[in-house]
Amino acid sequence: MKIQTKLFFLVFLIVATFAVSLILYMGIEGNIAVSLFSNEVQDKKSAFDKDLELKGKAIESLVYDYTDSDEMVNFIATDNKDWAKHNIDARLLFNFDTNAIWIYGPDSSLLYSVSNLGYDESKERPLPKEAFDTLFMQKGLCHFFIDTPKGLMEIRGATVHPSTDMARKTPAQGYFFAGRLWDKDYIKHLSEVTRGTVSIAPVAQRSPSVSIQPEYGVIAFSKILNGWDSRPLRRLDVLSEYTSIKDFIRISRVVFFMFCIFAALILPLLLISVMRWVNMPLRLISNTLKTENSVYIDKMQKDRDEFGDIARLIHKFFSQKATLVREITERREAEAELRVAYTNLKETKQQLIQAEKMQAVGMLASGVAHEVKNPLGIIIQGVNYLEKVLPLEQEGVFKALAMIKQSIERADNIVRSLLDFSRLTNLNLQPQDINSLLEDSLVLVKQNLQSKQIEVVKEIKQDMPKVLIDKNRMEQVFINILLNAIQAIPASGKIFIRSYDTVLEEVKNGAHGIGENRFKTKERVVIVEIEDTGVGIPEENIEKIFDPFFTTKKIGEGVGLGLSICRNIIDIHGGMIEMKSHVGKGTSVIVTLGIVPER
Amino acid sequence: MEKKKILLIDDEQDFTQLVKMNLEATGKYEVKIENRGALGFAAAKQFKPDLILLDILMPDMEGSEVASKLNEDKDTKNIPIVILTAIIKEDEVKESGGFIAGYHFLAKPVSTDKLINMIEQAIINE
Repeated sequence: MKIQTKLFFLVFLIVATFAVSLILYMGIEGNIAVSLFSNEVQDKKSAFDKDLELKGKAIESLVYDYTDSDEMVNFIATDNKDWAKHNIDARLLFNFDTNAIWIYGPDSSLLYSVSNLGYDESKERPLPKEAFDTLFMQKGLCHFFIDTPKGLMEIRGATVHPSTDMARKTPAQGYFFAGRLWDKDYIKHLSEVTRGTVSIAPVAQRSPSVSIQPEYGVIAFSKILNGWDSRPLRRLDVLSEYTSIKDFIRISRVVFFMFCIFAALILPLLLISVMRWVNMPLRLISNTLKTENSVYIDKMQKDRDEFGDIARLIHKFFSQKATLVREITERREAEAELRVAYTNLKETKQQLIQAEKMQAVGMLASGVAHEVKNPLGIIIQGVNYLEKVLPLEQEGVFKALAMIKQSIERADNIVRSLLDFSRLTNLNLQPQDINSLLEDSLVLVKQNLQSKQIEVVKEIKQDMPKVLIDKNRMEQVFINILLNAIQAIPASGKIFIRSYDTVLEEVKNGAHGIGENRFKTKERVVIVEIEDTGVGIPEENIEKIFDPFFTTKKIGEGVGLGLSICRNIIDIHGGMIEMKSHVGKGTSVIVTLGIVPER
Repeated sequence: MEKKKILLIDDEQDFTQLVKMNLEATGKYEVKIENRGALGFAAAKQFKPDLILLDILMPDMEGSEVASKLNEDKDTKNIPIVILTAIIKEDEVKESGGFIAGYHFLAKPVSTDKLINMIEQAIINE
């Protein structure tokens, strides 16, 4: 996996961790809040209950004290309204923070009531008769709520007993009820005492505890206020601010927010750092290595960190490689040049060897020629003298002298050939038309042609480019070739003379060693072909045909210098000569010469 | 008829002997032989020939040197010289009409007929 991908995964992991942590945090915080909340609710509830209790203590003690009293028993028994008016009066109400008192007889008839509420209490019977049974079934005390025209009232009641019966075991001598109106002031008071917001709501109404979220730092709970029949009469809703929760929630919000800011700052920073310090350098390096172009890491080389080291290293490697490549290329080129030079050298060496051979032979030839000429000269002069003094009419004498003279001439010819062979420098090169040269050569061998029945067929291209040659020497060549052709034809036949210029498609080989690849492809050349219908030359001899002193002629017919001299002459002209032959069909000699370059 | 005086300067003794024999057999020529090239010039001055046959390649002195010597001397500079040599070929002699660089040339080996022809030609030209 690529580093890039790994890094991205890592960053993604970090981001995910962050996100998950945040979510967890929020969850935990929520849980904490909830448990804090429920704890608080419990605390608050119990605190509230205690407060309520405290608040209600006054009434409670009033009811308790005044129902455990002989005087009360007495009153109920005697129905002494004066006593009641005197003792159970507004002051009592005030002292005990009560709004109304009802006293009932044992038969649950209202004996006396007093209130500071402003309505006719004598007519009011807050409780129906049947209430009494249920109220005091369990114990001698009761606590409930009733609806009054003035509002909700908290009632505490007790059975009346003599003071001796503190346990209230004796049958009730009467009933005593005290009530406090829960009016707005009282509720407000309650609110202050409990440090919350207290409100009375019908039972059916949706409880605020359901709709209040803990995050508002508000604790809500309810208390059911039961009526005398133990059925819910009203609901007491308490909303209490719990600043700790609020603070907690606020703080945790702040923390969360800061977390987010932190993440929002750090993560991009992380991402950018990674991109810039790791990803980008890596990519640049990767590109550099892929494209082998160090332009990408040019800037990086100045860095002082690890990437800078790498960049410098890569740069060094590249330049080393470039140097190496250059060296290799140079070496290869040098090698190629060397090879060419070697080939040239080989060829030159061969040419030199050949030239040396030629020179040696030439020197030998000229030496021999010279040394032979002198004796020949003497012989001729001797013969000339003998011609004068011998009786020529004698047939034998004449014949002998004639034969001697013939032989001298033959010897002279040989010597001449030798001299030719030895003296192949000093060319007189001129631009010539090869066709006129061929014509001249033909003229010179006319007699030889006529000695046999030979038809000359000319296939000559006119107006060819001129060739740069030594006229005499080249004439020598063609004469030689023609003489050979004539000689090869037994009695009758044809000699074809063709000349044309052409562009070389493939490089032709010269004859053995010298002249190979003398011409380049696409070079324009003039070609002369002299073909005869003679006896032909066997294949094994063709190789040697241009060698000096090689001859298939019988002894006395020639010394075999002709073709080798021809080859050398052609060679000096920078041309090529080759021979093709089939035994029984004939021989073809092909001479290739370069043309005079156009000015 | 007065015989023409021919001075033959050539180191080959047999050759010069036979040439003398052949030329003198015609009855037209008187031939003096000098086999030592170095003495050729002196021989010319002394013999006063009508024509000098001069060989080029001689061991003791080059024929060309003799020729230039002969040219310089007022007594000898008008004598026609025919150069005999084995170096050139007869073809070349034919080509140039037997006359190269101011001198008549004959290529060895030469027959007596050719020799006589050249001698006559050279003397006539003078």
